[in-house]
Amino acid sequence: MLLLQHLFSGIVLGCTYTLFSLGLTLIYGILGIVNYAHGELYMFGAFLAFYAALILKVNYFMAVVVATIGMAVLGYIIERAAFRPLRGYDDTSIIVATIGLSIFMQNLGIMIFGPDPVRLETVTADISVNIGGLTVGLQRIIVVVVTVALIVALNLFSQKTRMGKAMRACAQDLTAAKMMGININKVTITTTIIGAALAGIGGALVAPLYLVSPVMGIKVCTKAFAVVILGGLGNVPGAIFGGFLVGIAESITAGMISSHLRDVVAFAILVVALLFKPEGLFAKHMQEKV
Amino acid sequence: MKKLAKLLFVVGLIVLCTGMAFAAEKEIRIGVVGPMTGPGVQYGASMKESAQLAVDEINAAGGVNGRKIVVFFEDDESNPAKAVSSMQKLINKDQIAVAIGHYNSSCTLATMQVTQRAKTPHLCPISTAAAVTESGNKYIFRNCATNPMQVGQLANWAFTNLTKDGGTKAAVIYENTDYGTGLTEIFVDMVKKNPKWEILVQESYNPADTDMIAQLTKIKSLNPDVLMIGGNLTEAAVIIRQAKEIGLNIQIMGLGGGFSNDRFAELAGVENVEGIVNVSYFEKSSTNPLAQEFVKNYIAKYKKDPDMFGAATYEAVDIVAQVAAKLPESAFDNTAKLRQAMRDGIAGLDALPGVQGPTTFDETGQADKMVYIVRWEGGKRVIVFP
Repeated sequence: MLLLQHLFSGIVLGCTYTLFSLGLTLIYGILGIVNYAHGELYMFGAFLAFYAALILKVNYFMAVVVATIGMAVLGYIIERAAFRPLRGYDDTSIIVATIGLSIFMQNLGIMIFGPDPVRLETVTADISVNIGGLTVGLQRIIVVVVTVALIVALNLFSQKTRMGKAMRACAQDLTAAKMMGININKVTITTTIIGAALAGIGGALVAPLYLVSPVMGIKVCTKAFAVVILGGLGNVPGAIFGGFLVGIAESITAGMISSHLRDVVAFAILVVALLFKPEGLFAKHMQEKV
Repeated sequence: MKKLAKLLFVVGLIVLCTGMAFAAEKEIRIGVVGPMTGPGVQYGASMKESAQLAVDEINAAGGVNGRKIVVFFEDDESNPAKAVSSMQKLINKDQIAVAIGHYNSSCTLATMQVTQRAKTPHLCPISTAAAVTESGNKYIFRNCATNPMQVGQLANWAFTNLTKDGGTKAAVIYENTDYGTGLTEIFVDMVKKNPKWEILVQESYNPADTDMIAQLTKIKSLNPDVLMIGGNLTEAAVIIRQAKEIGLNIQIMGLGGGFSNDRFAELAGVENVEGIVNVSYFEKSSTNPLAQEFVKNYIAKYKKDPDMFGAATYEAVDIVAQVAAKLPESAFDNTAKLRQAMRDGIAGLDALPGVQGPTTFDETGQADKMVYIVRWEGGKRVIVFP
């Protein structure tokens, strides 16, 4: 029973890592950009939901929708202002640029929202239900349902739509995709918007569970990098698998063995995985960027 | 010619400085150092506002035997290196008689060596690390309770009020830092000496952690009577909400003073903090008449409630004024003499009334301060002890 309880909280944790990592891995896979500012997108999403609930007085579900739309707009701005000018630069310049973007957005967050954490109050956060002996918070169930729905939707989008196919083509080979007449700019904008929106939804979903603060993105970002590298940079199924693996491993280790080992376990898995499969668990071949 | 001018300038400066140091003291200069910028800015602001209030009140009433108190504020940015240079400036340039600072223990531990070398008394109103008064430094005086004193009082209150006939089982969750582990060690040691109490489990978390469900689920499965939290406000708010979420409905207590803040109820939710017991250095509902006076004047001047850090700083300035008032006229001959006389006067205090209760320093410079034990009721803190 105890194991089941830990398993469930691990799945919830895994959902938050997955939502975050999906955007991170998509943006890397298609734009070739390691986005260190992804944690700040998550933070802005959480704050947007908080202020939507506070100022617009909408209910929580509308607040999540507002946050998602807001983040999509922000994704568009970031693609035009930061990512597109970076196209063609070497990896080091791109990494330095996104670290800079992260610091900028974090301090912008402190300026706009203030340094103190806030709490997004919802009815769902304080309701717990008992399912066969498991005590489960309603908000946590919402997190799982929304994450699964988004994964399914993302899969349908990339398999069935023209834009989805174009994205997959770009992920395989950007130059070849361009030669086939695919509008690269459209693809990169769509990717960034989806990535930012996913991070924003992630932030908005955890806002009632945790506290919302300008530095909330830092910690989850480090974990998400472990997740994404574990699954293979740029690999979508890898990010999903890695997210759930790290979440569940963390929760069970902290609950059944020792809470001191909580942060150790994610990175221990990463190190072991990289020893045996350095390109990531799901990658078919090492991607060489020239 | 240029060289000569420079030389004259330097000589002039030296004459000016030594002249300053040997002229009879017409005023009492004090320095207040705290985090005026950086992450601790709200605490530095509390220190500054309260010190200014105390100085204004004393000077408006004619000063100390006709001498005005002049206060110099300096910033330490919560950074020990910056704290040292700020303290050196206060001592060498501003020629202060007494230093008051800091918020962060790391800063106090760094600058108390500067004040010791300059033989300048140093009042520490806020930093709680036990090491501050354990180094044999004769110039440091602390007018607030240390971590061991706070945990000791809370544990004793719990032993008196929460001990069950069949024995009480406690669980501890603490922040994995010097602060959190320090609080926990003291509590665990106290429990070991009490046959009616036992510690079932000790779990930890890291600062900025957001998911404590795993630890709390483990704690719940062991079925304790009491949960102790050794940490700070933000994470504690998360712990309390998640404890309620998984149905862990037991008495929760805070080992440190960090939860005694109105924001705690805001972050954790008024209904979730109900019944939580924790330590507090200062409460505006205190029945101490000096405290009531301070709260009234602070609200009148700044249009907001004072916090515990402000109260401690106000008390420190008041200690300076009270000690200076009793000094003989000969103590004011020069700065060095005044510093020594102030040190001896502060060391010799006997139950001096203050906003945080009476102050007597022991030979290490530590004041025997009582802390309050408070219980959250309807989003407000109610004093349950003393």
